[in-house]
Amino acid sequence: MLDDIIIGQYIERDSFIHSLDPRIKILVIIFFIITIFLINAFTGYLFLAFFILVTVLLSKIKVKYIIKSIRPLIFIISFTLIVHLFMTRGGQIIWEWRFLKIEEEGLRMGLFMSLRLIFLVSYTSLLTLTTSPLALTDGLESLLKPFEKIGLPAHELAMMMSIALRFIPTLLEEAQKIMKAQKARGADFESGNLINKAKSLIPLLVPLFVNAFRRADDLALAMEARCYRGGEGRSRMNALLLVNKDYIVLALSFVYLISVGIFL
Amino acid sequence: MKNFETKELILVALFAALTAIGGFLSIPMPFGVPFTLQPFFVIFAANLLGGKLAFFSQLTYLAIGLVGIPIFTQGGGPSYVLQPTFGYLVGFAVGAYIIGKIVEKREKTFWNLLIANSIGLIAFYFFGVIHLYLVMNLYMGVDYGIKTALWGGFLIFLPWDLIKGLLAAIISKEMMGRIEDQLPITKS
Repeated sequence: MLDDIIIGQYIERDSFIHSLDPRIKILVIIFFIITIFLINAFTGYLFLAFFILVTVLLSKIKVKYIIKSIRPLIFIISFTLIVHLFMTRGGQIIWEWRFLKIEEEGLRMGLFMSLRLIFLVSYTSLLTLTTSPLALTDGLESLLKPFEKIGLPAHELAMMMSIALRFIPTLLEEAQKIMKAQKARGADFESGNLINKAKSLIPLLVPLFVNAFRRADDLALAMEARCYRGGEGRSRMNALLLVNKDYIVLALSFVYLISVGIFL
Repeated sequence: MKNFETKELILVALFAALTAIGGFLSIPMPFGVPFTLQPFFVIFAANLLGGKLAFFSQLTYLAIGLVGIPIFTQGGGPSYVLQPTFGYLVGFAVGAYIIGKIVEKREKTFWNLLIANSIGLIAFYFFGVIHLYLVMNLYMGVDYGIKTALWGGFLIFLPWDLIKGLLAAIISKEMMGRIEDQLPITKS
């Protein structure tokens, strides 16, 4: 279950968007989010839709993957739409049935708010679809570097993120293995009342946590044996490098998005 | 100046991963707030690692989710901030810090763990309910009273979560006895 979510997210393609520097992609996403909250007319959305379309085409990602990323938010999107449809008042009555009434303003706000969510999710999902988790954390680390002066441990945070990502599938598999091992010894995870069920978690959790601590020991030893000593002065195998196309993409998206945000 | 020992850094990462796994063991409920085992794992992190490390484990979890990797219960990405349940995740970070700080200073008895866990649970809900209220009123534009927010986001979960806090205290106590020598919190 968890495996396909984590690994299935990034789709490897040989595309223009994939080849961009992760920092640039993160920055463009930030501009995009600012713009979407500045827009207050449907014409603005038209320009945003165009922007999304261009990115999708350049990324060579199939539209079905983007639709898939919207699915978890279907509930909140439809909730937004329905609430605005029936609660927001103003303008002419479009439809009426007993106590239910849809007015013009409600329809407009409902569509507006749910489109905003759909755009937001589909565009931000492009980031994880086209950027490997490792590149993402690298980019984030580099973007957060300036905040180190005010005490944010940028390198450590990025390192923790990569290690956590690396271990989510491993620990999940381990949890399943322990569960099977305990079942083989006669453990019962399913029956009994709430307290019993919760207590039956102990034989699962104790080995899981003990293993986690042991793993941390091993990994720390391995890292220190290779002279890991934090972020200062650390060099990279694949250093992030900004080239001309990165600057061009950044400048163009900035100008396009900000002007759409301000003028529409 | 070094912020973390290498081992501490790895422990934080592993507990962030465990929190994510806890989040996937959930039962969906109506009205948007899913019923997850996550608070359980957050409390363990706090009880076993102490305040600072537990706080960072939750921060790491949040950061991974917000950059777009779907480790939250309902996906991930920056737009998750607009989910009504996001406040609970912020509450986890703060709550974990509070629980950890309390546990660090006191004798690790069952009662102290229980008290710390209960105080932490209040922090989870404090942020959760405030965020739920703000999202509903300001973003969704729904007239969602503070009473409804309290009821839907707090009171119906309270009994079950008090049990969770109690169980987390029992299990933490049990585990501390077995892996005492390895815990950052029992050192020094």
